[in-house]
Amino acid sequence: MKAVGAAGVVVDVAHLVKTYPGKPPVRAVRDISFQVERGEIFGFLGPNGAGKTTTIRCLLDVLRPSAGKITIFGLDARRDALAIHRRVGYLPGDVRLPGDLTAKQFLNRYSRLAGSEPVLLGSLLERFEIPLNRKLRGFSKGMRQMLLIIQAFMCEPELAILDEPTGGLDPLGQRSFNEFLLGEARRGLTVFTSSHILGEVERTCHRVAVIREGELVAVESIERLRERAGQLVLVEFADDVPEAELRSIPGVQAVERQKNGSYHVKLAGSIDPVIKALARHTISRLEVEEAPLEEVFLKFYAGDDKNDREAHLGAEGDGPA
Amino acid sequence: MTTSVVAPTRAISGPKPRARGLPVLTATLYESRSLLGAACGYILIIGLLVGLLLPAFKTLNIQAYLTGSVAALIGGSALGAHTPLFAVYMALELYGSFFMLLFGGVLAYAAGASIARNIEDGTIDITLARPISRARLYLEKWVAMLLGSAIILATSMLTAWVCTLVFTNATLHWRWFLLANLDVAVILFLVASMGLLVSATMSRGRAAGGVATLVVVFWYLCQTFGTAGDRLSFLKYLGPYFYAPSAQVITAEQWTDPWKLLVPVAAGLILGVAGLVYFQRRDIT
Repeated sequence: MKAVGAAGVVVDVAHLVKTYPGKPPVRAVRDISFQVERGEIFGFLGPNGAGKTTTIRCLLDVLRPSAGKITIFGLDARRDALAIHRRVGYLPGDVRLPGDLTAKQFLNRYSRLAGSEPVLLGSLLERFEIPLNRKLRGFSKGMRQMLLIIQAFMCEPELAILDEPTGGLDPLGQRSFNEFLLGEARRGLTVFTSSHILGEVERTCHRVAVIREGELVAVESIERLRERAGQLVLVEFADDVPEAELRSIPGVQAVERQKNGSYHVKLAGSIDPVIKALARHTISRLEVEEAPLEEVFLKFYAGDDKNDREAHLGAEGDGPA
Repeated sequence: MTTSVVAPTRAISGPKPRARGLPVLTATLYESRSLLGAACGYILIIGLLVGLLLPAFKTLNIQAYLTGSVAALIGGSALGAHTPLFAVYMALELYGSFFMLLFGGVLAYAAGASIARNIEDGTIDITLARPISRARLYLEKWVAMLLGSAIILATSMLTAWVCTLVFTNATLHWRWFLLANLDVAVILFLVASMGLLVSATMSRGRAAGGVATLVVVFWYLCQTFGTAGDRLSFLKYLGPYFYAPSAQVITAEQWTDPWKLLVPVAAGLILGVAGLVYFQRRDIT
């Protein structure tokens, strides 16, 4: 494996700004900074028009930043673009494939452009079955997406930059892709991926950044987000326990009494105080589950996070430990 | 801060190099194959028709034909003392300023669309995410268009040669014929370079091809109106045909002021390099 940047940082974006000229100018990305570590799957989330694709295209030197610095593998993303691109696989989010080419011709063309042997082609074709000799105009949306996935990974990149990688894939295809991605990350592949599918992000990503209106509103590990999302506790007592007692337990955010007398308790932070408090009573049923991350993401998307935002960005620090 | 990054079990070895040749060039020629094929097909048909109709043409007064509006199209009405009739009609049908409009237009459209089409369909992102510099991409597309010009010219020369073999009295004075092809090559070089400049500045394939074609139409109109009367004679200096009057070389069997070829060559270089500089600096949007 070739050297990466300091402390295993593969992608380092510092104070990136991208403004499109116009009247008025469009400030697509506003002073964002983040790092991606080697072997990490880094999710880049945000609503439509938030600046995800602009950031990705700046990483690839397709767009030129208005300000800021991008370093990949410790190399300058613009000056050393060729050296970087030798080690990168890219899956675009919006592309119209040349319909007059067969899949085989398409893959051969982009393998030649890469100047690299498609060493993973065989294994990728086993996982993502596509008709190699059919013209691309006859491909379904899912097949086209699988072809793009294959072209992104076939030359065994060290960094994969993916823009909405599972768009158009059926659930089986999505699962297969996620398994593949996790496997490659275990082998040391670094992944920078944008996605709208929050469940998929939750399952595959180690860390996520959320961008909204060009500004980074959070960079968090999935664990930290899970902690923030909290836990849902379903508890049913044999005796009568007043709701106020449950509300007074440290970490409890909300308590809801059900018709059958059980309680739904929304919990943030450690479950230990709750267990200790509940242990004073006779419990007939207890279930604990993690709250879905979707709510946290949507809170960021919708902009209801003003109080927490500083904390989310501050928690990022210099990247993962 | 902690993450659940798992230590690599078997490290990724990284890409293994392979020879790649000129992938952008071949892809560009492949994308332009319909236009270039149509141009070559037209040349073949016209060349063969001229050969077939040669006996009928013999009855016409060619000198009278070469005056008036036809003179404007070829840039002069002089006829060489021994110019073969077949050569004259080939010059009229394939090497006049209309040739620049027709085949120049085809080439301009192909060159104009070459980069902009890839921006429009998004494939340029995949290309530029590979270790292909913008300069290399641009230059390969430029060379592809010059190869396209060479294919058009080669078809023209091949057609003429076949006609001389097949049809009786279809003779050419090859020296003048080849010099005429040099003139056309210079014009097509300018057209290809202009097309690349247009393509490098736009992001819609058809629009860029259309703009480049309109420039060629403008040049053609400059030639025809510029030679039609004295008041508009300045116009002829704006079009490349004035500097490379290919049909006139064949019909008059004269190659006067060859230095004038430097004008479209220099203009082509300037336009091509300007396109390269702009393409390297622009955002691909």
